Amino acid sequence: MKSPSRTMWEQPWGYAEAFAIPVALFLGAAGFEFVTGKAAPTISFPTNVVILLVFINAIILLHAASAKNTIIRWFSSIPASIGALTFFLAVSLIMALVPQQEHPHSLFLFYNVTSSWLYYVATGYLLIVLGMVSVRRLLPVSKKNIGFFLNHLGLWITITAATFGAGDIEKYTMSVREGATEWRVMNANNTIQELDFAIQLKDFEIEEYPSKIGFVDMRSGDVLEKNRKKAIFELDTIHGIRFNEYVITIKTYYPTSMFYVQDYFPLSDIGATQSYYIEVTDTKRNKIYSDWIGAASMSQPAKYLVLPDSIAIVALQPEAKKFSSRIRLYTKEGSTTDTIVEVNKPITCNSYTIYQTGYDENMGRWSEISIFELVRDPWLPIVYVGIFMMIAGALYIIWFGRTSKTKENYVESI
Amino acid sequence: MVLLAFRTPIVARISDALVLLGIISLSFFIVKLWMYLDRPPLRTLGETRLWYSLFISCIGYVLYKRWNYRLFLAYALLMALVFMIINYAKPDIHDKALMPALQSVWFVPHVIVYIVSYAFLGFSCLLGIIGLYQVRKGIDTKQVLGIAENIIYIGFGFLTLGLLFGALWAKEAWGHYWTWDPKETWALLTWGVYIVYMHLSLQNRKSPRYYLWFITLSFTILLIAWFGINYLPAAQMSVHVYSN
Repeated sequence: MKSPSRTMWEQPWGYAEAFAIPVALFLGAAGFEFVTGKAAPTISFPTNVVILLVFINAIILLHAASAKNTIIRWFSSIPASIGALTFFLAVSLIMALVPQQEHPHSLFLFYNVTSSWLYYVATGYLLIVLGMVSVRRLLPVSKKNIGFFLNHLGLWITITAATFGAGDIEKYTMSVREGATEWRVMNANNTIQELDFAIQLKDFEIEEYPSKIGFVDMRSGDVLEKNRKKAIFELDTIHGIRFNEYVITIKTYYPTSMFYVQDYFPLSDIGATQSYYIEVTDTKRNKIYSDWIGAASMSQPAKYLVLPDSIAIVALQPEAKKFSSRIRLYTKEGSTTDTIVEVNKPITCNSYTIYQTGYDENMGRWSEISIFELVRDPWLPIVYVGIFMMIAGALYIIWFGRTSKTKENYVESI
Repeated sequence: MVLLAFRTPIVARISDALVLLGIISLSFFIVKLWMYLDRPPLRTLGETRLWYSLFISCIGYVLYKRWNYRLFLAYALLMALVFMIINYAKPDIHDKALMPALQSVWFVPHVIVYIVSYAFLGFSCLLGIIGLYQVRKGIDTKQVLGIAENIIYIGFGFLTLGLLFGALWAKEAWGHYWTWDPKETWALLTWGVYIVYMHLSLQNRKSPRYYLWFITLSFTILLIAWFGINYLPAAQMSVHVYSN
């Protein structure tokens, strides 16, 4: 806090300076972007490693200089930490409020924050302050510093590796047809590259949830609502489905079926769909209707049951429960591996992680194409070191809490 | 849970035993279910609720032993009880299509640590309000502020775990640990605001009122990250907005 007897920039520095510096950096970064009109360049290997080494050296030198210079020492103080963190959070707040675009033409600091100069300036300043704070408490190594060390250095390692490593991340998409073998991938700019391994798609499979059943107003095509809740129901064979005066009981359910003349038959040919034979009781008029309803598929139209007042009962498009690809991997060295790739269950091959991301949505369950994403992030192990340090640090905080000791330790070291 | 209301040592011992018995029998049930199903019971929301109940009781009991926050143990047991009652009474409720990206072993730990964290931080906010009331009445707020700060540390620890578990999960599901998804951004802001608070309070320069307001308002940011996000224009593309 600024004391009344002291003017700004006069020592000792406090919160006024802690916020003035970020404001100046903000204006500088914004001005620089305004003049150049360009996004910040992404740096990749080996430039990023060189800059990182210089950066680490700078922090160590600053730390060494801080023994003699009170201004440099101030950068590892609590006010400076709060200023730097608030600056970083303010930049994050822009991202939290303004919808971000992939390729804006200008004003990167609003529409694509992570590629703006501002983002790098804020991150850099945070890392300098956090780095100086971490180094300052690193030595002498003592037991009481362990929580501090895990949390501060862990965070520093995570952000540093994530930021400096961002340019080295390779990300490609690959789409493979069933039976085919593919080794070419596409990057974000749609240029094709070749890998040193190939993927053969043996089989692509989708498991679906049972179709939901909905009440639709046939005049407008909208789903009916009651108390602002849409009249869409899940398959419930035991209790039946109730909506207003209608009670639906499901007599038959076919996960895969085809419509022929007037009935659905359990078949699993291409274009087969989910169908229900339902009985609807109109409790108000005391009438019973029954018929087949079925979801639309690539080869069959939807079939619905029409009630009075232009209300129709329909089976909605089923949602995917699980999709997976059975693949065989071929490497240049001549090894082959059979495996399965699934959402949430990626596999690794030659330092690439292979994710199941999509399929031909027009074909749905009969998609013969599987789409993979391949990611290579050489900095990931370092990021994980930081993350696991922070997890340990969090457990430390949970166990020791805010004991009076934490406070004493901290204050005495400042 | 009811027994926790009494402070006498004998009752405390009985309630301890009952909590432990509950935890053991629930674990036993989950192991049996696992063997019966021949797969980890983590697929339906009903099954995940079993894990919620188990872990939240364990966390509640461990923290109770460590910090003697009986109210938190009561809260944890109540939550566990609610999940169990839902499972008994309406096993199918919300047993809705769990989209492929959500079917992961990270689902339960990610959600649980957030439930615990929000409970602690919510409680700190409540203490903040009590403190502000005390300031108005001219009562000394030192004790309330002290408890609130300890609770913030514990809540913050869980908040960190939630954020990091989320990052580890995201790497498995979407290929990157951090994508500046709006929910992630707001979670980071919440996390950052609490870090700011923890650092500010180390210096103890200002009046308690200032800190109490800070505690209370920090929770609003948390609420934005939790619910408010669904209404923000920046969040419409978020992978965390599951309502259609």
